[in-house]
Amino acid sequence: MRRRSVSPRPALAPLPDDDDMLEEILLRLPPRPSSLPCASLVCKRWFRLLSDPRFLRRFRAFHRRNPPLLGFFIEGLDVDGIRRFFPTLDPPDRIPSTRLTIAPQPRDERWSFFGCRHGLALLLNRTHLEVTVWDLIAGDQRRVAVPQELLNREGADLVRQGALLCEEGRMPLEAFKVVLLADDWHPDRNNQVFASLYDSKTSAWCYLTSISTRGLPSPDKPSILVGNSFYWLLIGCEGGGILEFNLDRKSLALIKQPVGADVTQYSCFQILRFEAGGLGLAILSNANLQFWERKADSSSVARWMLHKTIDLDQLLSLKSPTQTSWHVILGYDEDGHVIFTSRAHQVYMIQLKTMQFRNLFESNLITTYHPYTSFYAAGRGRGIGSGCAGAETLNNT
Amino acid sequence: MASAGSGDEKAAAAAMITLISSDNEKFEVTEATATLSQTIRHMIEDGCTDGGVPLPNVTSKILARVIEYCKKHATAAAGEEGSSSSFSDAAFLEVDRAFLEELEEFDDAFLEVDRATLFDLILAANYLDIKGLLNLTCQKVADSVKGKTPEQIREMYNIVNDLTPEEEAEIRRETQWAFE
Repeated sequence: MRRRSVSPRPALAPLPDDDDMLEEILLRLPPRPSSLPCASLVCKRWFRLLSDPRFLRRFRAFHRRNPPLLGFFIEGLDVDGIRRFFPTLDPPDRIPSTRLTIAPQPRDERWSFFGCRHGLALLLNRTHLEVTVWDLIAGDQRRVAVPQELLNREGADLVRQGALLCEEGRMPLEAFKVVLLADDWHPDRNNQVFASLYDSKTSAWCYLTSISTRGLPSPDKPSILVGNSFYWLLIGCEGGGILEFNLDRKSLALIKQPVGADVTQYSCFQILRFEAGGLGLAILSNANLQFWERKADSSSVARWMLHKTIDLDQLLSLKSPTQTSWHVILGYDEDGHVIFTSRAHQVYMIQLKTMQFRNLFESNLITTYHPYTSFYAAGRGRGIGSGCAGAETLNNT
Repeated sequence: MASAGSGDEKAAAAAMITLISSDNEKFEVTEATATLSQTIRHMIEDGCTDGGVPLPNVTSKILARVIEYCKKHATAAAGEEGSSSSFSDAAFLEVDRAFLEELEEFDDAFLEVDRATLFDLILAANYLDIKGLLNLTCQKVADSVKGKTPEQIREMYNIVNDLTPEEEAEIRRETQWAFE
């Protein structure tokens, strides 16, 4: 195992011959998808260290504040419940579409997709009334039956939205939580929105809670995690609003939209996570993109404050919009603070910290983009989220 | 722990510690500088520093560099230590932005060493348990590997490729896209 002692050119200073030291160095490789596969090809010692589940857990924890945006899934592009993966990174970090495309089986059943977080995707099989939590990189899944409380008298599910997270410092499927939102929609009265929380630690649903609201969680906008709360946009009520599920208090709350915002009939809304960890809201009216931030005022009351306003035409160097083309928000990556917008069939990806943007491609489909951020481990197609099964296979060889 | 009277604190700050390198050179440093090392901090807490602290794993050349780092960073550490748990990062950054920039410049210059020295600094930082120095030096090595092909990394650090062609092919096959 001491290969370095027989190295042919002893004049060069060798790396510390101590696995702990080498691990400290490799831990600091950039969290890009090609980093670990590439480094694992250096020699056996590097491969062994980089495939060790303990290292993978540390790597994940070390870089947890900036997981790379690998790409996104587009809602409604394919039939049969397939969500095709679109990589956004350049080679050598460009993971092929086929590697991560979501194709739930069996195809002929009714699937809903609620988005991704921490390397996991959340799907609902409405035929079998089952939630699937899918570690896309490792290819592992967990299935959980929808709780009885979220079914109607006929046994059909009333689920409208969902959200999930993996607990900090854990591998994706090792410790996760799922929240499902259901409602008793009726056109003539307020709706009761129910939330139920699943915790993989107890393997049980708990904390059924509800709130009365005129609106309903938008089925097109995936949840945003800010602090320890999930947020969803509400539709169908005057002035819109945001629904909050707090994971500490296990309770639902409503937040009204900012008063005095520039809102038209065609405005687009997107919940944001601000850098300092605060709740934000982007409102796009024509080319006018306003950023509102929820902050405590001097008397500790949370209020919306206008953070800044951007002219998208100016930013993207576009001519004035025509009557047949306007800007829309397609999606948002909460980890990287990146927003996806489109105008006149051109899709843009805008980094909101730096306001740098990229023209992605042309598409006339106005739909939901689900960003996917995750880490990629070394060798044998196993993601860092592979859990112990894949890791054990590696150790036994 | 930090609740000792201010008189004691002052006395502690002024207290000197003697560090003895592997080649028997003695270095007089303040306790504030020395305690950036968790290893030395524990020795002081256990009262085992009378007659100097022998550091048989660290040469005088490396120890001098480590002390240079600790002296510079002790001020920043003292600021953090002195504050309560409600220490505000934002306020700290605002007030001490200039100082932090200076610290960054110092760190950059500090890392301008040959490779053997850099590795010795990593080992010393690990042995003495100085988190900031370990992070700084390990990041420097990681950055040197960043974006390099396996062949370039091997050549750079004189590593022999002992993977069998089958193992190599298997790794490449699974993540072919990363090597295109």
